[in-house]
Amino acid sequence: MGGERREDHPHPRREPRFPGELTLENVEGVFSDCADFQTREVYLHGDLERRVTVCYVDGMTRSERLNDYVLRPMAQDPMLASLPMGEVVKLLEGGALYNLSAQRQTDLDGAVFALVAGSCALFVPGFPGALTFPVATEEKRSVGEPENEPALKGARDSFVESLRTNTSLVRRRLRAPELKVREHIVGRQSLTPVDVVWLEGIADPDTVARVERRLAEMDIDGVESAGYLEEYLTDPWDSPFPRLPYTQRPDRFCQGLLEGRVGVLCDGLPLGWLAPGVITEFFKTGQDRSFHWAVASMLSLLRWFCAGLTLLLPGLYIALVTFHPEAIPAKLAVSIVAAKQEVPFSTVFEVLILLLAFEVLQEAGLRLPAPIGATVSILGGLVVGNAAVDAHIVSPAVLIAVAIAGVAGYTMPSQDFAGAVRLWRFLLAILASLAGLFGLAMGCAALIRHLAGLESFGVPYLAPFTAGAGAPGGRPNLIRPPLPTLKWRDGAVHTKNRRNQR
Amino acid sequence: MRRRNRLAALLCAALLPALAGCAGGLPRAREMGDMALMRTLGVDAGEQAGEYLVTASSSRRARGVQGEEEPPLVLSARRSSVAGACLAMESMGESSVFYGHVDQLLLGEELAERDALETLFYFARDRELGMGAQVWLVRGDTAQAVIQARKDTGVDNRLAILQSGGEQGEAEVSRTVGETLTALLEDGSAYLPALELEGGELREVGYGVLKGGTLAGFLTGVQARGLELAQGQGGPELVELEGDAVRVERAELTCLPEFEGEALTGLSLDLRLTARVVQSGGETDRDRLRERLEALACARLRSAVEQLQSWDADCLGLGRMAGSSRPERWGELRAQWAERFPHLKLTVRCAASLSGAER
Repeated sequence: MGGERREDHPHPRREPRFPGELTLENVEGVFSDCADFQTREVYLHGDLERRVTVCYVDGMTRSERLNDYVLRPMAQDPMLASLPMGEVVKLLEGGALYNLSAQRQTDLDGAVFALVAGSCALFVPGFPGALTFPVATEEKRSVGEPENEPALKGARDSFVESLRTNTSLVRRRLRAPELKVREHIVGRQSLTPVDVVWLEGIADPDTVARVERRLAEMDIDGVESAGYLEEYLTDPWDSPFPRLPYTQRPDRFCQGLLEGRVGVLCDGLPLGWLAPGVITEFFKTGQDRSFHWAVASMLSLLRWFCAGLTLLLPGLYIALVTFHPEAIPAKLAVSIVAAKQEVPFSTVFEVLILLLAFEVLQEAGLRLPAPIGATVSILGGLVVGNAAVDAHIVSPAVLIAVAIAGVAGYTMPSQDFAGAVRLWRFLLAILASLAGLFGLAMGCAALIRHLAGLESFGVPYLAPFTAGAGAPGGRPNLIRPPLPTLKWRDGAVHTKNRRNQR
Repeated sequence: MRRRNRLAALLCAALLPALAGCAGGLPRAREMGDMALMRTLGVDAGEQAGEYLVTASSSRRARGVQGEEEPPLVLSARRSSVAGACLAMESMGESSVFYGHVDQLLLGEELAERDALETLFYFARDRELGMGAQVWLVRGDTAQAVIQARKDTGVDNRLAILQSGGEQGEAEVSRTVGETLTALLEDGSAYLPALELEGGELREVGYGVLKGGTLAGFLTGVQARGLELAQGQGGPELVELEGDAVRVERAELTCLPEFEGEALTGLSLDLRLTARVVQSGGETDRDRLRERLEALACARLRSAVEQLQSWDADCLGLGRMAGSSRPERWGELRAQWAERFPHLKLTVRCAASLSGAER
């Protein structure tokens, strides 16, 4: 995130969106051709002279609430029939209808958006404006287990598509009143609520401001997928590496907030994002703090090793076999020569084609339903692979090298990061095929230069290793030290309060 | 400022190939499937003066993943330089000959008598060959004969066994090209394990000593065992003393110069042995056994060093050892060593500690 994005509003928003007076006719005009928009006339306590109109969007409201807490009191409360109409409106607003809140709307926009959000609007003839009562339906997927981040030893709840449920999952874990939740509406057509969540006094206010500014700058039609948030909150065009880690797990999200990070939750997406995201965040799992520190450290080192393996192995194989065979141990070299003798393709071609085939198989396995996906993997990976080796189309050594690189890539907890590594793996393999180890070394230098130039919300991407001159150092996250020794929050995230335990 | 940074980055990028040793161009791609990987190189003196006969052998080759093993590829060429012969062999086989995996060098006796240094230097200079290759001297025969004798099974496996045995103290001390060259340049002489072809089989026969690059002679039998003790190894053989068999597991030699005034007159060699009784069949008690072992070790060491003195070849680096034990007299010792070494009076002492089986 080098510089700020260019201000560019090709078609400014119309404010207000629906001009005009707030009347029943105008609301019906706004919702014309909307089959789910409903109105109902109600006589207060059966008095034919006292008629009010209730509007709602069917499906967005819960009928029991509308019937029991709005319509029933209006039909049965004798006070509503005896008082003057001016007093009746005050009574309706003040508690005659059983609802958590009642809002007096004075403009058309407010009433329309409230209706869409699941409120019902009450129009009283002769009185300007409308009263809205939230009676939204709470139909949603129940809180289940995080499928992408399974827990062996830990909480088993995960975020769902309902924003308010997600904020409640966070608040149940962090009961400090300092937990702040600020809501933004993103998307011209979707009007999606997006919440920025942080712990006051711990999170960096500058990061909060940056996140909110980015959200405010988002002028899009709708937030339909996670990419909308990630690509607008960060600058995706200068790097394939993700800079906004996400999680399905509320416990991991809360851990991020405790470390001074700023969270983002979006209605309709069962994920929570944490900013800033530095490189080590993409190597952590939700289980790291559940296991013994020695085991967690070993697993963390293993993940880093596998990342290096998946990135370098194809390029290293090409460089050694094609340019520097003398660096291969003699017995291994003899085996490679024996296996390679009747293969008609060059090593470079073999490796690149197999890397491509690996991607194709993976993509095919992901897109198909699980049982067919497994069949495709078996057919593609085992049967075709074995046949290709038997037919001397590919060398078994290449197959093994590419398979090891591919499988090692699956150890990375973040598939976004793994995807970026896969892209660079291709690039390094091509460089190695051009200039051997020299090309590979140049590619690695370019990768380090690239990573060193990245920032996430003002924090260097490589902050855990080098935060920059004068900046508070990051924590070396290659290993997970014993928790009692982790007395300081990560300095690189510019937390306001670094000490986290006595 | 940004433009200047870019310019500096471009300049650095342009310099990188030179810094990485790629100034002459980027490395050249080759396909391993087309290669014959040579493991062993034998160098002999040619029939004419200044001529070399070079023989190269690969391992046993497999065709395909589960194909039948084929006999090793053996190529020979006769040229006026080792490099020329190696180049000539590249155009002989069906595959491109690759010397990058040559890790075994056999030197014929005749070549060693003439000059082995040039061959060793060739290994040091060539970009494919390396100084990590193990060297053996072929006694009484040519390197080509050794390689040809095992052309069906390959000589590399036997040599690899000898090398690993030498590293573990179960065979004669192994030497690399680098170690040999270092010894030749620092001490003026070096020793190499020697092999002999007997009935088609390779047999260890001690060590050949090079002095200034040419063969001074062979240390065999007791003298070879003495050299191994001086090099800290017990050697491949058990010491058998009146029905007892003792294995020397470790030897440590301390070398002290002796001066009379300013003149270097003698050399005191203190040998400490750690040995284990592996078979106790004799009637000798432990102290008597230790005394006999000490006497035997003293005799072996003395014999080896006296032979080296007679050749004026300090291939054990005794001068350096003596200098490091008396650093304050290093200047005097260095000035007199080359002249005085053959005439130094030897005092050899040995102390052994025995462990292991007792009746």
